[in-house]
Amino acid sequence: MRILFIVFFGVIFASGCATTKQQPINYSETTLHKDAKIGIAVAPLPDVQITYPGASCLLCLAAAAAANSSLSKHVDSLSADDLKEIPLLIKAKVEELGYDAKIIEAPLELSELPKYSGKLPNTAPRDFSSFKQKYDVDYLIGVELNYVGVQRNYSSYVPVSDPQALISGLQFVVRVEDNTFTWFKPLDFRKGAEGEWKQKPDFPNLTNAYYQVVESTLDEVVNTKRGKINEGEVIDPETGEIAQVDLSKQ
Amino acid sequence: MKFLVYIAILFNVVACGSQNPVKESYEALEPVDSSRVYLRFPPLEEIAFYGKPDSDNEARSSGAMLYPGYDMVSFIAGIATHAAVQSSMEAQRDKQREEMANRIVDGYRSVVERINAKSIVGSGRFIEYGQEKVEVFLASQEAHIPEAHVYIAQVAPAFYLTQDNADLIALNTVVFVSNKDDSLRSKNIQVEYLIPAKSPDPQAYWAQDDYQVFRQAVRSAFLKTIEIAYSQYRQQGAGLSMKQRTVRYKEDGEKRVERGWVVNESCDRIEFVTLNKSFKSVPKFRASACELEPVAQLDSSQ
Repeated sequence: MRILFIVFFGVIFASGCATTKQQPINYSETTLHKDAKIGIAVAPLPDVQITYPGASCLLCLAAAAAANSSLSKHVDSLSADDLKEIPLLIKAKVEELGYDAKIIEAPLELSELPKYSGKLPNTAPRDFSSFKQKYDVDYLIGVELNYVGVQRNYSSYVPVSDPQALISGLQFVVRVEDNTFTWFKPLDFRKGAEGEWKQKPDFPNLTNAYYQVVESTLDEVVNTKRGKINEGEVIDPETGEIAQVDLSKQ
Repeated sequence: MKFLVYIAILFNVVACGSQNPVKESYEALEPVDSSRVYLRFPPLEEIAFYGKPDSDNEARSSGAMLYPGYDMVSFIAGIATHAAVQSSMEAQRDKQREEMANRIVDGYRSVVERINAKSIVGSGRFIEYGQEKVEVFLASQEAHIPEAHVYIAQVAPAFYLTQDNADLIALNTVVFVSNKDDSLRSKNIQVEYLIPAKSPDPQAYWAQDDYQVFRQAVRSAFLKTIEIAYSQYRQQGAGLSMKQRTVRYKEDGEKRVERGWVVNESCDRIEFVTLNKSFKSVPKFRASACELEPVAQLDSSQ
């Protein structure tokens, strides 16, 4: 019985370890086929929130929440409305690249799609084939943001960092015919306040940091050059291309 | 003894009753002569120039710490010591950043040392308020402030150069007072005005005509801060009831984003109130198709 117990849990753990995380895939000439019909879908935006990673016990969490009550109240007032422009921005960029694109109004609910497994590299874990029948698209550009708001790191009861604005999620292009990712880009933008952050009740510097990560997200979802804009790179305001800044002059 | 106490109380009551009452009515002031403003600088009338540090984008973090927990007292003492050490390190780091940033001014030392209140105000300068032209005077250079009721602007300007020399930023704190009534005083109005170098080689641009372009830009930016502060003072904060929005502008060649209330917008510039309640006038991130004003013409008068 004991051996069966060990084997059973051993198989479960081994299968968990065998699951590979999707690696980023850069945009290239093969990302979208010529004359492809492209659909754009975005997952529902999460509420703007504040969390305290590291405050792992219930009492720690309560203490952190109490200590940051005015910040938490202010975070509730922050708006994520600018992020609703994402499908429009992507559509404009895709059409600029010469493709036919349409926005799928229905929210993208990845967890409700049937699971899929395939042997090809970069196979999507969900079955997107229904998009072909329903929306007549060859490729689907999807964006899912899973965190929008502010985060402050804790070590149990003690804060170990200033709060920082955070938006994270992912963006991908999937070929619906064979459920293969042709572009996969994790999104992760963090920014602290420039200067003092403890400015009750409106926290202006931290609020600016929040809207700056919103802007960074909007810039990144139409950036086709790399997986992420790296340090020292900026988007050229005239062309939208990445311009390298000479770091030796910094 | 009781009799003496009663007499003392009686005298105090009479004394209170005989004090002059607080003056409840004020003499009506004559209207302000709004065709001129007198500028009053800090005593030495020197103008400060600094380098603007690059933005510090990272949230400050001290990492995880282990505090000695033999008892509550030592635990609290550990936290307090760590906090003190951490804030001291951050202050030192900020100071080093500022010192590094200020090195950009070394290349302009011979020019900025000759810039003072008299050179940036000069004479015959005007600012604009709507259709009105308001003449600007340096109070210390005038023999006397006239008897008429006029505005006096107490100013405290400083100038910043960005690290790639691309932008000159005037930062001014202005307080309007009346020469007739000390109680008439505005709150501090902080204004920031950015002038970009209109060339891919900003250092060469500012150095044109023996740095005459640089001096003109300094003068122009300063007068613009006075103009914006004056306009806001006269309008008493009109425009702040509008909806907050995200403002995108260009600084040091990069896109900058801030949240605020836009009070004025043209094809290439945007003026807004920041969340810190200061005023900023900056070039738009994406200017519309219009001729960008050359630096010389930004000066309201020559």
